[in-house]
Amino acid sequence: MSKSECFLGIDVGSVSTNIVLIDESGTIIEKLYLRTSGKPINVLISGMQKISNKYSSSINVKGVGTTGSGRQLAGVIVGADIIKNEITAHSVAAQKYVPDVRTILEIGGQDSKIIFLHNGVVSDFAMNTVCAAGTGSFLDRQAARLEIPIEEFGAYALKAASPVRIAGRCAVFAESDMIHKQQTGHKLEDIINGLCEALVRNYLNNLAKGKEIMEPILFQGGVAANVGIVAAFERELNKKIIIPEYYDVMGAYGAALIAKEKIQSSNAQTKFYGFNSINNSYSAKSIECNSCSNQCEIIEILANNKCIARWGDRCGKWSQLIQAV
Amino acid sequence: MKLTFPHMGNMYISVKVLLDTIGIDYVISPECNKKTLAYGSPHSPESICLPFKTILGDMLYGIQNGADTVLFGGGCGQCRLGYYGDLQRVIINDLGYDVNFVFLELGEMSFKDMIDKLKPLTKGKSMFTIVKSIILAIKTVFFTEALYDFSNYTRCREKQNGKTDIIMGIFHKKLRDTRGYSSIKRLIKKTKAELKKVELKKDFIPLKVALVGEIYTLLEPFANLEAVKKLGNLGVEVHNHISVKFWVVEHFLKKLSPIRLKNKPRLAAREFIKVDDVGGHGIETIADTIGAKGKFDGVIQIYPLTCMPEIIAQATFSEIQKRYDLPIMTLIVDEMTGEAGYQTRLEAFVDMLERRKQLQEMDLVNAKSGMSELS
Repeated sequence: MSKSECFLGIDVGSVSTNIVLIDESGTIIEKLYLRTSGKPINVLISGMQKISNKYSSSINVKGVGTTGSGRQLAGVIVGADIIKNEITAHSVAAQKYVPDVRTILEIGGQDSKIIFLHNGVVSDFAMNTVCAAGTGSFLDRQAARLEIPIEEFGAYALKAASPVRIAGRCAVFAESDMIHKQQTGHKLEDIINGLCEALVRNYLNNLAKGKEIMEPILFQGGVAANVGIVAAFERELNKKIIIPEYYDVMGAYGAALIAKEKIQSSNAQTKFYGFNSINNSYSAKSIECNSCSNQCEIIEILANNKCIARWGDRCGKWSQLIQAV
Repeated sequence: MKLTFPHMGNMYISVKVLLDTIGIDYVISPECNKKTLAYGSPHSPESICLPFKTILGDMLYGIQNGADTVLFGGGCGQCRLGYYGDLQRVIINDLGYDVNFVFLELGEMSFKDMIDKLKPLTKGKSMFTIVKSIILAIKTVFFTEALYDFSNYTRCREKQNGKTDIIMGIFHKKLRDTRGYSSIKRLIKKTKAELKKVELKKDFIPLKVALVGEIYTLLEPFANLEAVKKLGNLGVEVHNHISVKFWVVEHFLKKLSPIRLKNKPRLAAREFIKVDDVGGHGIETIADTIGAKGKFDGVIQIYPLTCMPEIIAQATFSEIQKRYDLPIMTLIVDEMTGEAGYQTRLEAFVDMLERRKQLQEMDLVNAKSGMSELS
């Protein structure tokens, strides 16, 4: 039996690590959504093992792309052909789903973004600048505090009967305001709905900044699973929001698509280390360089106690060192 | 007497020449880093901008290392910078240090005021020495600027990534122990020669990005998380109009000149904002952004959190963007800025500019072929 040719996309984010396997035509064969839980290396490796156990005998990985805040790390561990930022990855994936998409709303664990497209090209984007209120982690935390499973959190908002206004500017203030509203006797459903509305208001004010949001609108990222937020967006914008089928792994999907495009257009060999390499033991070490006043924190990534990458230095002394090896 | 002065990017090179030539002893704090911030932060108001904290850190370092006089040139329009010096003096006095302060409020001072203020520093020195050292210092500003501009030119075009950074790194290291105008000039010349040897990609046309925003964050690599280097290594040619040279020309040389020139960029900004001054370099930010149309592929504004003039300038951007179809991104920095998110924004912006450029070129080709078909 000949092995089918596949491409891998890996998105190492703050909250989730996603792995997507696509075939030559760009169709998703497998997707994994794993919680990063602060251990990106372990989660990445266990994810790769899952893919390996299931598919290593039937597929041939032709290319790998990584994205997300841990894209460098994932890139050196698996051997990536492309290492791309999330904005590009998300827009490529969205365009595959809805080719004429004009606006992408993306809310992830630690950041939120809005991407505007025009004629199939990103024409403008914005990421939350100084505050993380209104991102996935904050919703996670509130769900945990109210002892509601995050999966059901949004559904509560739909049951709201009367509006409650929550201060959504800052995560800390939003939380105190929620507690205050609880103590004055508001119903939980109303408070959660108020929170959803506050987040949407905050998002549109700080990211969209009055720019025109045109249809089709795609909503991606883990928070798209929250029906309360989706409903709040639709109410506020008075427009239809499309949630793609694989909304939670769009970053990884985009990375896989970009890797596919690069490999297919250049006919290059993949830099993927293969599924065997994940059996190495990986660890990270941080050292402080004292050569100059910058005192950079250098991160070393070790595979079987051998250094495979270093970064974090401003002068390039350490990162150059590894390239020479 | 021992002098200390805060950093602002590469300005210390010229100040060194100035003080060496006059013959004033001085302490320079290490180039801005985490420790500088650790010196300044605990004694600064919490929500004040990043430059205030690092500048205070520089001063405290200098004082703790033997300086008895602090020299600081600031003050421009209605920015908090006007109160900077006074606030820092009060803080330093409250900490129990008994030192002299010489604050040059360049925004309002006449040349005579300046000489008067500098008098205690130059006691016993001849006028000739003073004038000569000022001239040499200003010459150094221009030399240094040219070197930095050239490194921006090579960095985005170099064949092997990182060559320019290494040469500039060595330059900075050597600079610490180099004293006097002629040795510094020689070092700059030598570094430039080194940079000329860097192998460049042929027929490569980089994207061009204009940096605008608050002057200190633009000039201090620590404050802007090395935006110039990061963009350069992504293959982008970076231009920064608000430089030390600009500062010296605008606030010093033009003050001396008897002819009052029309401020053309400021007039250009009137298209979007009908006031002359919003403090700091807010108007310049708007003017430079407008000036970037047609010349640059995109504009990046950088300012420290809570910087009032730049917040006002930023408000005009959505309108500028609409009218001129010019991509603009704003980055706000403070000590809490995460480097990963910062890098992501820069990369995404560059990606976007690249795709736009490709499309524009394709449109151009299509338009041309369309024309030939018509004829």
